[in-house]
Order: sequence, then structure tokens, then C-alpha cells
Amino acid sequence: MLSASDNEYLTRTGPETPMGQLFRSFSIPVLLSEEIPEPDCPPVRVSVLGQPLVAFRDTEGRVGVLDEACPHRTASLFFGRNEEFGLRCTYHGWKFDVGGRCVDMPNEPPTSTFKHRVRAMAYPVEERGGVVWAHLGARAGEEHTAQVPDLEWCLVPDSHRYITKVLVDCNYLQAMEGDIDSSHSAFLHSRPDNSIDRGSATQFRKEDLRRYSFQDRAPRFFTVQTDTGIMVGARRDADEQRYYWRITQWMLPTYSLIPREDGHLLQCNMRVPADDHRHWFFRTQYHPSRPLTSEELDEFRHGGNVFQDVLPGTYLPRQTLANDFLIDRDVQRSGSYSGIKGIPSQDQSVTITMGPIADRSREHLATSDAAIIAARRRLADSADAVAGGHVLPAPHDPRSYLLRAPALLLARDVAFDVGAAEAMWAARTEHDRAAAS
Amino acid sequence: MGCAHRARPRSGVVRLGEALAIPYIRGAEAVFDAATQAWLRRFEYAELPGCAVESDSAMEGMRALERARVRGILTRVAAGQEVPRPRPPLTGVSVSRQLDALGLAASRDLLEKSLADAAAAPELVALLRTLDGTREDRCRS
Repeated sequence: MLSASDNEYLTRTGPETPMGQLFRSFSIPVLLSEEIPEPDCPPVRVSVLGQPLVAFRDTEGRVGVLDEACPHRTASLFFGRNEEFGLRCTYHGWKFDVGGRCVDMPNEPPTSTFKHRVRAMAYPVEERGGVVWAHLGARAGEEHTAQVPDLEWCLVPDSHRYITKVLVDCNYLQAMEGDIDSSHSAFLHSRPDNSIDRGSATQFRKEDLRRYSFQDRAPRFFTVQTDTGIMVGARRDADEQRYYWRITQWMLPTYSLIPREDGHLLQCNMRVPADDHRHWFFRTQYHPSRPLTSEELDEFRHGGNVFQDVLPGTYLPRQTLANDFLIDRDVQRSGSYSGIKGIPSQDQSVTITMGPIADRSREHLATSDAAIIAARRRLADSADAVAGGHVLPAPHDPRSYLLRAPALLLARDVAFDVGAAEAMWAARTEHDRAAAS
Repeated sequence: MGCAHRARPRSGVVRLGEALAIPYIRGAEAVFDAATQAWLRRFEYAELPGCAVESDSAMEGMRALERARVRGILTRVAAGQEVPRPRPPLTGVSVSRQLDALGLAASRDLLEKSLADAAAAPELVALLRTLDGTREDRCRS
């Protein structure tokens, strides 16, 4: 359990909060590139870390992420006109470029220099992997060293990756904790007969070794700190010589690589606070060495089991608390453990129902929650450090994010991080080889 | 077996702060205590021999384990023994802040000392005395 004050500390991410400062020391995902697909397209508004933002793509294709409020009278720039290298507020015609500079102030005399003294708050942005990343701790044009992490899915060709996002109605932390809770999948995402939930696992994901997860639902957990975050090993008996390990990589601030067997599609989850009661859930599936097939893309795009069905034209899930996530009690009796279609909705049925911010003073943590406890402590330590003026290395060391989360068999007398090293670092090896060729 | 680890020990830890930043694999399991007929949470750093705690509470157990880790390392340093180094020290954590969180105050000067110099430092002895005052977080050997 956590005290109310510790819970507040970890869950509040506004600009003046320690955790907010931690997030603002990184470049983080703020929207998908597809949301602003072409030059001079309509701007979009997005809330991140409790900040109302507006994003637009200018005439040359450059992306701007600005505070939504116009610096003139604080009207919303979302209703602005995106035209000729800038976003123009419809209230009085003030126009701002992607760097936040006021480039036109038509209701002042043409010779006035006032426009040079007015600036919209704009943030440094970079597009990678189909995502617009922003560093909300700096102003566009200022020198900063926070870099977009070299997560492997950012480095593969677009054809090898599918990525989308949904808005989830709960604080980021309780959902992120689910990403590193390796024990829940053997229940929430399973069938009553202990087999993998075929209604949950994608038809393309038939991992041979996963059966061990359902044979042993009480694995032993091991965690080890890394410079980027925490490596979480869930160990189950396989045979007399080997253990079955599922190794989750949790990386600051809120990224999780989900364990996968070699050769399968790989997955990364990212939880970005929209505000303290909602978060953006970015999820990607990718293959490091081949394009996704049309069948895979078709399932992903139409809200299969790994991605959610959303309301048309939005990033809002169709299954919500308001409709009980469309639970089917007949299916729950005979088909799947949860009776809810799709892994993300299954997850949300347990995380959203904790409340907008889970009351952690009421919880009773077990040994299987060791990774959650460790991650909370790491987040708090990191926030403490940033608040104290310490510079974390992770935001400035993109390459440390270039790794994988393997699920594999290892000899019983081998440390999991040693035995799995080759599989974990294969991303780096393969990327270096490709870069050299 | 316990926390399966055969990572190759490496030498090269120079400063006390580095020794305290070495990451070890932390194991967690539920164990039955026959004496009390109760299930407990057991946490251990098996790479740091003898470093294990049992607790009713997972949160308290992990906190006690951190104190036990610090105590185990300081004890080794004070005795001139080698500190196991299965992997390089972390650079992304603030050791002094971690010690603060455990209720232990260590000066930057002490953390910057070489292991040999730290072994003779009165401040290290005082830290160990503080840790000795708490029964629950002793390393069990």
C-alpha cells in the first residue's frame, strides 16, 4: 500500500509536480503523425500532462506543438487557420509559426514591432516511428538534450510497424503497472480451462512456450535495475534442466516492452498522461525484419484482439465502463476468463474500475507485485532526482532503449539477464549490422 | 534453487558510491513459515550472499531488503572484503537519495571515497551502527 501523499506524488503530473517534472525531462509521445497527415491540414488539439496543446503541420510539412491558448487573449488556437507557414488565430488574426514566433499581427500597424515581443509557447518536436514526440520541458529553439529514445519500433521501416493510441479513462500509473504485472495475463487474458484465450491472443500469435504460463500461474519474480528502468523476469518451471522466462523491459518514464518469443511480432506499450484522470495509451506491434502482412494489418486496423475498436474518427474505445466493456457473461462462463473481447479492453475493465486514480492505501500487495513496487520506487527516486536538479541519463541516452523483451527457455543455473543477453541485445546487433551495410 | 544467477563477478569498483549502485537481481517469493504457520513474503539478493528478508508485507519487505543490501555492502567494505559486482554500477540513480529514502544519511564525501578509504571512515562506522539498530533488515546468513 501507499500513503495518500505518496500516491499523490506518483500520480500527479501537472507542470508544478515532481512527477510532472520527471515527464518533462523526457521527449514523450504526444500524438500520432497520422493525426496531422499533410501540410496545412487542420490542426488538432491534444491534452498531455494536463496541458492543453494544439498541433499542426505547416506548409513545408514541419510539425508545431503549441500551447492551445493564443498568447493574445487566450482563445483556442485549435479553431485557427493553418495556412502559409503558420497557424492563425481566428479571433484577431495573429499568426504563429511552428517555433511559436508571431509572424503576423494584422490588427496592429504594419510597422509595429510588438509581434516580435509576443511568442506562443512552442515545444521542441521530432517525428519518429509514426509518432510526434515533444519535449515539454523546453521551449522550441532552446538548446536541450532530451532525445527521442531508440526504441526498436522507431527504427524499423514504416511497413514493419503498426501503431495507434486510445484515450483511457484512468491515471497512467495504474495502467502502466498492469504492463509490468506478468502474472495477470494467466488469469485476465486466459480461458477457464487454463489455455490461452483464443479470443484474446491474436491469430498470428501462437507462441509455443506460452503454455508454461498457464501451467504455472504463480511464477517466481525477479527484478533488476537498469540505467533505463527495470528488467522484470517471471520464472516458471519448464523441465528439469530449464526455466521458462518472460522478461519484461520497463523503461522510464512509462514504456514497457512485452515479452515475446523469437520470431513473433514484438510489442511496446507507452502510457502518457493526458491529465491526472486520463492517459493516452500508445501501443505498437512491429516485426524487426519483415513488413506486416495484410492480414495482420487488417486485424489491427479493425480492432482485433491486440488493438481496440474505436468510435469512427476518434481514438475513443468503443468498449467503456459505461457499457461494461460489452462483457458477455455466457462467454465468461464458457469461453474466456473475462468474458470481454480484446486484451486492451480486458485490461481496462480492471484498471479503469480502480477509479480515476487508484486508492493505493487500500491495496494488499503480494510477492507477484514486486515489479510494481520496484517501478513505483524508481519513478519516485527519479522524480526526486530531477526535482533536486540531478540530470537523469536516460533521456539523453537514446541507445539504451534499443533492446527487446524475450520469452525463452534458459538453463536453470544461468542468471536471466545473462542467459537472455543475446536475445535482448539482438535489436542493437541487427540495427548496427543494417546501418553498416 | 534460489535466484538463478551465475553472472561473472567483475572487479573494478573504485568508490563507495559505485559499490552502492551495483544492481543485483532481486528475487521475490511467498514462503510458509512453519514456526508461525504463516505465509510470508521473502525477498533476496542472492548475488549478495546472505542478503534476504522475510516480511508480512511486500512493501516493507522490499524496503527492508534495500537496507539489508546497503548493510551487506558496507559490512564488506568495512571488513576489506570484495563487493560482488555481477554487473556494472548504475549511473542513472542517485545513491545519496536512495540512502535518504532509507533514513540513512551519507555525505557526498563518503560516497566519493575509495573503498579502502571508506573502510576507515568514522562515517561508515556510524552508518553501520545505524543499520545495526534495526533488527528486521539484517542480512540472514
